[in-house]
Amino acid sequence: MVKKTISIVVLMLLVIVQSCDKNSKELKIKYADVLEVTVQPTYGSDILYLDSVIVTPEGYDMKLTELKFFLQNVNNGSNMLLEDGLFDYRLKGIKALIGLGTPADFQNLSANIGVESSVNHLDPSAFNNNCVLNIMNANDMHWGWSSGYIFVKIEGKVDTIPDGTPLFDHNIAYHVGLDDNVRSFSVSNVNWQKSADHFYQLPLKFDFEQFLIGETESINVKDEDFTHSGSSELLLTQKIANNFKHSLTPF
Amino acid sequence: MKYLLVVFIILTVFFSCKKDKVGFEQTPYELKIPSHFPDMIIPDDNPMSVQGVALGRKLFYEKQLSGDNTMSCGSCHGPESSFSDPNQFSTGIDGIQGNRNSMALINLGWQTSFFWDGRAKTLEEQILGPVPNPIEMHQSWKDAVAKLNGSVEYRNLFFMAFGEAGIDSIKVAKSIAQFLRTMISGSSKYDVMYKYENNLSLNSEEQSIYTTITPSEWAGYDLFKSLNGADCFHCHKGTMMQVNGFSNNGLDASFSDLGRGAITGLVGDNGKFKIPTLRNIALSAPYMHDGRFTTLDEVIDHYSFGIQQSPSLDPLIEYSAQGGVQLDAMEKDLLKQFLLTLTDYNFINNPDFREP
Repeated sequence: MVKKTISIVVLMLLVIVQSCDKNSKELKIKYADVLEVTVQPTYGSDILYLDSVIVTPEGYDMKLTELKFFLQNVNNGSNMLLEDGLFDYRLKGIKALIGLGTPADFQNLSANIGVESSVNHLDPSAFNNNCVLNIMNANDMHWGWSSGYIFVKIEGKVDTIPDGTPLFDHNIAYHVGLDDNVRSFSVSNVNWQKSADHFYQLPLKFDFEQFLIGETESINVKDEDFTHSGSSELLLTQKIANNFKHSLTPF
Repeated sequence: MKYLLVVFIILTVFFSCKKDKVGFEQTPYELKIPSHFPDMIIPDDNPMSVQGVALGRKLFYEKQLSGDNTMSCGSCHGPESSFSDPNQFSTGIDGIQGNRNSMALINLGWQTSFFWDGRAKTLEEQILGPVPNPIEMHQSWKDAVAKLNGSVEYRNLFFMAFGEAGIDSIKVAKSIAQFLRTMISGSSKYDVMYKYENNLSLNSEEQSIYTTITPSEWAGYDLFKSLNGADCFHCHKGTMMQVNGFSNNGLDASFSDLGRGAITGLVGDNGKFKIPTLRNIALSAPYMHDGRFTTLDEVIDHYSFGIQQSPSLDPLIEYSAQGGVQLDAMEKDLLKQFLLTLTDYNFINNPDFREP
C-alpha cells in the first residue's frame, strides 16, 4: 500500500512539474567567429579626432567635422563577409563593419568604396530595416534616390587666413558619388588579430595627411574645397576618390 | 488514497487558476504607410493597438493634463497649423512664454530625436516633457494621473489599451506616442513628383494629381535641388523632406540659445538645431526654432542674402561668404511655388487626427 501511495505521489509530482516546465530542450549552438573591421582615422602617425586642429601640408589650421564612407561587397572571392557597411566616425567611432566567418576564409579582402551601380539607384526605402542602405540608416549619405548614394563624405573647416585669429571660416565639403567614382579596395595576407574567443579584428587606418598629399596628386584645401560630384567638379571628385582609396591601409 | 487524489485535484485547479488574470486583448493597429516610405520601426515595448491609438488621441486633446485644465497637447499643436502653433512662442498655463517655436507633428515615427535640441531620443520620452514643464502645462505627473484615475471612462480606456488595470505617466506617454505614430503625411503633390521622378508607379488618383503639376512647380523643384540654385537638398530631401540631424543654418553670428550645444556640451554644436521636415511648410509658420520669420518669403530671403558667419555654420551652405544663394525674384517665386506642393490636405483634414 505504501509503495503504491509513493508511486502515485511521484506520478502526481511529475505531472505538476511537467506542466510547469518550460521548453528546456538542450540547445546546441554552433559558434561562428565574429570578424570586425575597424578604421582608425589618423593624421600621419597621430590619431585624428573630429573637431580637433590639425595643420595641413600647406600650413593651414583645419578641423575635420565629418568622415563617412560606404564599404560594399567585402569579400574574399566567393566568401562574402558583409554586403554593405557604413563608416561614420562621429556616430559609430572606428567600427566599420562586422561579419561572421572564420579568419581562414578571409586571408584576402576586397571591397568597393562606394555602392555599385546595380544597387546605387534602387529605392532606398525598400532595403530591409537593418541594412545600412535603408534611407533611415543612410540618412544624409543619399542624394534623393535617382542620383544614388554619397560614397565618401568628408567635411571640415579651415583657417586660411594666417593672422593668428582662429576663424575657421573656410568650409570644405567633399561628397563623392555617382557610379564612375566607385573605387575598389583590397588587403592581402590579412592579419586578423584575436581580441577574444571567436572575435577577430582587422584594424585599418585612414591617413588624412596621406589623403591630402596623395599618391600622385595633392589636394589644396584652400582652393579645392568643394565637390558634390557634379560634372564641373569631375577632376577634384576623381582625385578625392583616388586619394581616399590610397589612404585606406592596414594599421 | 482518496485524500491524496483530492489534494492533487485541488493543487491542479489552484495552479491552473493562478495564472489566469482577467485581461483584454488589444486589436493590432495597422499603420497606413505610403508605398514610397521606409518601414516605421515600432518600439518593442509599445506595440500599436486600436485601443492604444484611440486612447492616445483622446489624451492628446485632454486638458486635464494641465494644471488648470485649460491646455492640452493640441493647444500648441493644432491641425490647422500642421499640428504646430501659429504664434511665435507658445504660452503656458501661467502666461509664461517659452523661447522656441512649437514644432509641427508630422511623420514622427521616423524621427530619431525630438525637440529642437534633440534632447529626447524617443517619442515616448518627448511626451513626458511638456506636462510637468512649468512654462507649459505645469502639472506634476502624479496630479495628472490622479485626475485621470478619477474618471471611470479613462480607467476603462487604459485597461483596454494595456490589458491591465492602472494608469501611470508611462502609459499616458505610450498611448499618445501610438496616436502620434499614426499621423503620417505622404499624399502631397510633392509625393507624386517624388514618385514620378523615381519611376515609382502612380495610382489613378496620383496620376490625376500629376497632370496638375505646373512647369513652375517642377522648375522650383529643380532649383530646390540645384547646387547653384537654392541648394536646399542637403538638409531637406527624400520622403521625409529632411535628414535626421542638426544644423546651424546661419541665423546668427552669436547665440543667445545654444541649441544642440547645450545638450552635448560641444562648442561645435552651438547654434545647431534639429533639421525640421518641410512637409506642410506653408501651414506651419512662423519659421525657425525661434519663429523669427513669419512668411516663407522671409525664409527664402534669409537663405538668399541673410546667412551669418559663425564657427559652427553648416559647411554645406553654399555661398555663405556672400550671405547666401543669391536667388533673384523669379527664382524665389519658383522656389516658393515648389514649397507649396508640400502641403498635404489629406493629412491636415484627416478626421482621425482631430479631437474625438
